[in-house]
Amino acid sequence: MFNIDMESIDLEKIYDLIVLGGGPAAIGCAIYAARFAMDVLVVGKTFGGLIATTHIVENYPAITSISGQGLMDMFKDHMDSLNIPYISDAIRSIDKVDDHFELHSFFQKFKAYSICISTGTERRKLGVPGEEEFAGRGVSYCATCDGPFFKDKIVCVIGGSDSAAKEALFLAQNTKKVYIIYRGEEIRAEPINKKRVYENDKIEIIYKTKIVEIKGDNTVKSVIFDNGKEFDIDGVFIEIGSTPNSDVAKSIGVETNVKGEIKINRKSETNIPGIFAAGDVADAPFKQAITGVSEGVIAAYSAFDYVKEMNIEY
Amino acid sequence: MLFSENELNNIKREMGKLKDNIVLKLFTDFKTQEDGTKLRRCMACEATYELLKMLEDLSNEKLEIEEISTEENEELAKKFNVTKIPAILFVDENDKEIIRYLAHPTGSEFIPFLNSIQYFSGVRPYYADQILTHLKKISKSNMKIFITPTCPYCPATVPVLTLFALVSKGKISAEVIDVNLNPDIGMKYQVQGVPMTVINEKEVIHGMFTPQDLLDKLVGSKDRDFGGMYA
Ligand SMILES: Cc1cc2nc3c(=O)[nH]c(=O)nc-3n(C[C@H](O)[C@H](O)[C@H](O)COP(=O)(O)OP(=O)(O)OC[C@H]3O[C@@H](n4cnc5c(N)ncnc54)[C@H](O)[C@@H]3O)c2cc1C
Repeated sequence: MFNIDMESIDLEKIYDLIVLGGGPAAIGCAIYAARFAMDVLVVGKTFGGLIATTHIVENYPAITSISGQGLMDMFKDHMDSLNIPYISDAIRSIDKVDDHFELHSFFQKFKAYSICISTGTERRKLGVPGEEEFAGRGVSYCATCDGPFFKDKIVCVIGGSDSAAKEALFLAQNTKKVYIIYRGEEIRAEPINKKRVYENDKIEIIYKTKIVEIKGDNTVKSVIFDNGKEFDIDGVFIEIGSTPNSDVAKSIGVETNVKGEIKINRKSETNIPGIFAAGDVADAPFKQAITGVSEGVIAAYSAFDYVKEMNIEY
Repeated sequence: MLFSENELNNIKREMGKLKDNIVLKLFTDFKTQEDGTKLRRCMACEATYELLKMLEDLSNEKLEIEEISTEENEELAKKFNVTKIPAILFVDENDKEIIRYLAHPTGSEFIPFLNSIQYFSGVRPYYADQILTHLKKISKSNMKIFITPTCPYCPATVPVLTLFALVSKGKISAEVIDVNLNPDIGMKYQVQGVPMTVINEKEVIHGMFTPQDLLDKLVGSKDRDFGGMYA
């Protein structure tokens, strides 16, 4: 159960491992750590992570088809069955103190010998006039959240990734028409989703086009293309990728690449001994729930080895 | 709502943590039949009643559900300003409102709801001290959060509001409104995205936020630029 009350956790205790995040990578890591009999605590800003925002997941092995939320409910059950404590909080910085780390949220200090950072990403904003003004009034970053408000309306999805294609397919179920607006020449969706998009009468793709402004009165009414054309629309769903949540890692000197992703090796180790990273926040080229889980599991194993080597007396 | 055996065990364990005896008021449209049974026409009322009754049964008599019919007891409905059903009210011993749920707290909204019940009965919430320290600086406020059952950011945001409401003992009251069940309220507030939070009928926050964000907002801290997140 989440948001556990303070009486159930010990802030003085030095945990073997604290896992940052509430997405697949974090929970995968925590489940393995618990089974390695490590004293593990999960601290996540939200539970479920990015995958919980998608309406359908069809590529998680052994599960043919499930909603993102449904998948994370299963993760939660598994975590519950191992009595892994979870706290809803955001860690802001990490320090090394003697043989352990201190993790600071706004209000609390947690202690651990090892850490797995699986803080994922934050949705990238388009950065055009009108985006902020109409957020929640026609501009959205989550089709499963806001799609139902656009029943029988005309909407667009900005972006050309597999996620954008999936958002368009979801939106097409209820809206009148979905335009995918993409600056590239060919959407980059998985072939199966690309085919579905092409075959869907309600979806139309506008290639080689960027949006430079979002306009409206009370709600969104139109977008302006980079060729100057004004295009009438009721809703704008922005799906142009995301940026890594790696500030907390940087606070202790964890190395990142130019994109801000945490550099890890095949043992999910960062440049700082005792700090591991996994999932979308790390520098793997292909980011999925299963790849995040895999890195998280490896991080648990490496953390187990690391803590064992420390010869801590229990 | 169907729970697996494992889930039921977890719920029982969590309900076992309740401290003080508490009462939740549930407003439905039941009509008492000649044989004494209660007939509820609104489907969400029936489902909400069953869910709350299950929690009552698992609470070792710490939780009491007081079901009130808006049809049979118009006076009480009026007293608590209930015009929408189902409505779940967390009120204190002086009938001061702390939280109003115009929602059926099921699916991923269930755990935040269960946590609220725990805090209501005296379990100490994680952020309690921090909120209490700043409470003097916060004026009496009302917060409304609009949600839908499919929104993954909502279960992370609802508990922030209910936490403030419970810790402040209603100085900051919270209303949780499912726009699918209450489309008219959604229309009134022009909800086109969830979670959407309205503070004192003035300020609107789109997206989710942390307790610290809300504290800053309520205290009026100027040094942080804060907008809702979709992380
Ligand atoms: C629309 C869409 C569809 C997708 N579909 C699929 C699919 O079908 N299959 C698939 O495998 N993948 C899919 N993905 C990708 C998948 O969602 C991600 O790869 C996966 O969620 C990454 O998991 P993660 O745990 O690394 O990060 P996330 O899921 O992003 O989780 C990060 C967690 O860290 C928390 N956090 C952030 N900062 C802090 C902090 N400072 N302190 C504590 N906690 C913090 C966040 O609240 C969150 O809980 C999709 C993505 C999108 C956007």
